[in-house]
Amino acid sequence: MKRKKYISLVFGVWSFSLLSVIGCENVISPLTDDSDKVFAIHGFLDMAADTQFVRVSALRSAILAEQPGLENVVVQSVDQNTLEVVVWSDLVIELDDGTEGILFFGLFTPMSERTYELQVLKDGNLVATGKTTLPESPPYFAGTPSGDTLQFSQIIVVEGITGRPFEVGIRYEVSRPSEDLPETVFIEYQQDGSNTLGGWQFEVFLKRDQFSVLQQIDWPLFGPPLELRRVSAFVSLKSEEWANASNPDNFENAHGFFGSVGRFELPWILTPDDVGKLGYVDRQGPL
Amino acid sequence: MFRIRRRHLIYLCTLALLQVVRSGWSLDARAQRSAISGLVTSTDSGNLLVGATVVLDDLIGERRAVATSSEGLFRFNRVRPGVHTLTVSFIGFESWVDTLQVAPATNQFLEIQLFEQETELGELVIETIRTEADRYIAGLETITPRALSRVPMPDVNYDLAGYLLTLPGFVSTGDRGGQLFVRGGTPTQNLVLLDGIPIYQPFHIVGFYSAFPADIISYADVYAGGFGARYGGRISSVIDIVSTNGNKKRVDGAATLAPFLTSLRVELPIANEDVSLLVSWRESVIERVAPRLLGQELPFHFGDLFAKIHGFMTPTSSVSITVLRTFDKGNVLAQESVNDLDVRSSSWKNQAYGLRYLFLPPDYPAMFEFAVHYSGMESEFRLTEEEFRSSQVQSFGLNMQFHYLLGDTQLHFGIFGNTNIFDYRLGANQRAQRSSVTSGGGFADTQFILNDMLRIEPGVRFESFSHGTSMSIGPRFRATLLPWGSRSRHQFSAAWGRYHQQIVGLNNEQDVSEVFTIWASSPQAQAVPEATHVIAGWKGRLFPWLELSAEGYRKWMKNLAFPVFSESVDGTTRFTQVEGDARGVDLKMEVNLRSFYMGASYALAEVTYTRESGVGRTILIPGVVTTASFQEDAGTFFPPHDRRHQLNVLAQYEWGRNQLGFRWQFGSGLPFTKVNGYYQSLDSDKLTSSGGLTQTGSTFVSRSTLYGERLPNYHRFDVSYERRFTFERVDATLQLGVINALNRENIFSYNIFTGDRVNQLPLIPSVGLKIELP
Repeated sequence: MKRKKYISLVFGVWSFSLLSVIGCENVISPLTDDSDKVFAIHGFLDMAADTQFVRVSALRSAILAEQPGLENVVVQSVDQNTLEVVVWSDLVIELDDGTEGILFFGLFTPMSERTYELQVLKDGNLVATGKTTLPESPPYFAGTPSGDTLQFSQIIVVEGITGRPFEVGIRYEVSRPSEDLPETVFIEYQQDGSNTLGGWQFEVFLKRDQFSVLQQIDWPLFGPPLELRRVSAFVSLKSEEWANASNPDNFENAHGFFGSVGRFELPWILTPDDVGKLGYVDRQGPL
Repeated sequence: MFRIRRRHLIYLCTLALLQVVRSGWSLDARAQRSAISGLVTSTDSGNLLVGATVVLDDLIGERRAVATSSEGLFRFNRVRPGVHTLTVSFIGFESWVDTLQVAPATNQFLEIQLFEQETELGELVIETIRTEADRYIAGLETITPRALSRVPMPDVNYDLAGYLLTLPGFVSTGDRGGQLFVRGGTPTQNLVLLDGIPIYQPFHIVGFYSAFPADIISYADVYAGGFGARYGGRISSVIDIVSTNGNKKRVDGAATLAPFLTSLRVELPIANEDVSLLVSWRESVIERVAPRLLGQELPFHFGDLFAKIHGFMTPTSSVSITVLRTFDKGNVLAQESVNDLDVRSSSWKNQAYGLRYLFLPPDYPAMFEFAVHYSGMESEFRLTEEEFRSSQVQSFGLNMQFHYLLGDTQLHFGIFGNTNIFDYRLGANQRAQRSSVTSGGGFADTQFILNDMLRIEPGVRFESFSHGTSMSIGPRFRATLLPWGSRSRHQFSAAWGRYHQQIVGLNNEQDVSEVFTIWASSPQAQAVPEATHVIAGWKGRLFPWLELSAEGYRKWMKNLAFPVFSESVDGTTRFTQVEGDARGVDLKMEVNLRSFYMGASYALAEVTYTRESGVGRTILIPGVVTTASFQEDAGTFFPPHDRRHQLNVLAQYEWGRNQLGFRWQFGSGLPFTKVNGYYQSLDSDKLTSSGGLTQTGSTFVSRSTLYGERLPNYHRFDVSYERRFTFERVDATLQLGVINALNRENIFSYNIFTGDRVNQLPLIPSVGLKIELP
């Protein structure tokens, strides 16, 4: 008798358990209801530009869903050194695939070594931020020119960086005889250069560049010598965010990429002898 | 810390040595003692009787008992000269009793045949439980064919797979795909052996079925952890299946027809009753039956062929040859259209061949076993017409084992060697990759019965590899305590061990629908996966019909490869190393009455993986060992097989020739990762160029907390009814059943990108018929 009671009890508990879960939830909601991350931001600050651009988009709920609009969204930047706030304006553009995208632009020129925070506000609330610090001007030095004729060249060492800056060029400022107005010739350098102790170096082919200068300002090869006013290297350095672009850690509640580019002129002075070897008249001023 | 461990090891070794000396090798009057050994078989079928109880009583009241081995053999050493009574008993057979006159310094070998007994089934069940209770070992579950028959199946055939999922701590992600997770371990960390041959993919594509039909299984030892030194090469669990031998006396066989499978088993005696052949063949029919029966396509085609030749060369030696071939093909995501099979499909084939020789020296207290095997698996995963991946693994193994039975002390040791060859191709345009690794090693497993209450089993395993890693050493230890001696109704057992896995299987565990696995050796200069197990448990029989058990465990796992979510929707699979921690408690209750059986189990478990930030590996590019530099955030998460609660209830009622069975399974939801949304990610390198901000970019997915959400709970209710009929020349069994009787829509797979949901199998009615020779 007791055994039967026991079995009945076990069956009762079992049946109750069974029935209690039959009606349990069986629906999946794959989307996070209250995600903190709702925006993707792509762009960078450029020291060489007076207008800065970023592309901002809201996350879509499905792969093929239409891009949601950005109503009541404000983008602004804050200079962390001066706390100066610049409110950016929006601009609808056509993307390469024919769809529309939204750019925001801010009218200012970022400064070297300064940190800027890009803020995205929705309905007046700060919902996402990204930070970038512009690179500092690198120390550098110019080696002694050497070589004969066309091989006459000079090593420039840019200290404190590893690898080639993403843009490198040499700028020559020359003037025609008896003219005060200088003309500028920029020669882009594609060479990889090489890493050296504490920095990166590349070779400036001074004599070859002279032919390029003559060609670009349309001056005869055997005409009167041009006057050399200034020679400098131009390097563009990317901020640290680029080194970890696939997994950036400078965002709060946002995806994408936000970095900055520093543009730096690195001038040096050639000796009068070297200027003479190049076939210029030396009219270099102080750096 | 290290000193303490070493001191303990030294102590145990000393203890072991003393036991060996005390038990067997002392040079005293025992030199005059004799040995009795024998072979126990069934009179009816000639089959070996494994696990039969053999008791030797002498006139002064000393009693000794052993169980027959997997080859039906037993042995008593150092038997006093004089008169003894030998009793052999086995469930379902009449006991055999004889009085022996033992002369000094002699060896007797007995061939004992037991007659089948006409006994009520209920009595047998109770006796079975008693026998099992005597063998309680932490982490071990011994499965008999009788136990398999308690699980309702969509088939008149029973199968090991169905039973395994009723064990606490055994988790499957679904009823298709054939993936089994044991106490926090993954499918590729399970060692599955059939007659000592490793089987790489032991489950069919429909999760109800393993590659081993119940008819061919003599018994299976399932270690959820804490396994002894004779097993190695995997870090989670061991399923050691011993197949039965064919009938050596007469032709026997059976044929079945059911909606999922058709099967045929034939047993033939050959060579003067000394040799038998057993052949079992199964092939699915569900892909043909489903459209009419269920109104939907189930494009799964699978089957297996098993053959075994067993023969006695002499009364004390035997040889067996085992062959297993399986095939599976199907689209585990198919739900609506069978045409999908032509495009996306998973397929695999196992081939396993093994030879085993066993010798019991008549005049020496030992057994010798020699085995060689070949095992291979080919698998393919086709995503599109052009895009496919293929993988092949082959292993050749040689094994020699020695078993010394020295009274209260047992010493098992062996040496082994393996060569594994791996071949894989990760795309139509990819070059095939081929590699191999050879290993060799040895083990020693001992058992000391210190007194009536305490038995300890220390062991050690070592293995050295041709390349890739240094020698691995895995100490093992197990202890069993019977507080009130051999008549104790409560038993306590504990196990501890360290395990290594040099041959690893890599698959995308994030996606349950991707069962494709690449087998390879662990890359050089990378630490191999390893685990430490600790298990402690209790088993008690409160009443003759009620048994309870509780087992707590913990597994610490290191150097596991786990895939990393790609942010890109069409990104490649990348792996990082994680550390795992699995812990839990398994509770079990069994009620065993004359005509009623009920078993209930509950598992509470938690598995966490911890990933250190670091460099990971990308595998879907040529070379599985390629190290691609990518950073991944550190963190702790629940892997997708972390089932927190699991409840199983089985009930079976028998009356006359009828049998009614129920089964209800409940599993709490498995973890998954929610999505915040999707966005176009622009190439940062192109941003500085003209048009950088108007580029289209790639679609990326923003994910929420890693595995921070749970899928809906799983539950399924199955019912089956059987009636047996006896005719003049054949016996028949008719089976009616309903799988998923409540038609619960259990989720199998959910594509977060498309929102496509694939459910597990719906309500499936079944009618099965089995015809067998009596």
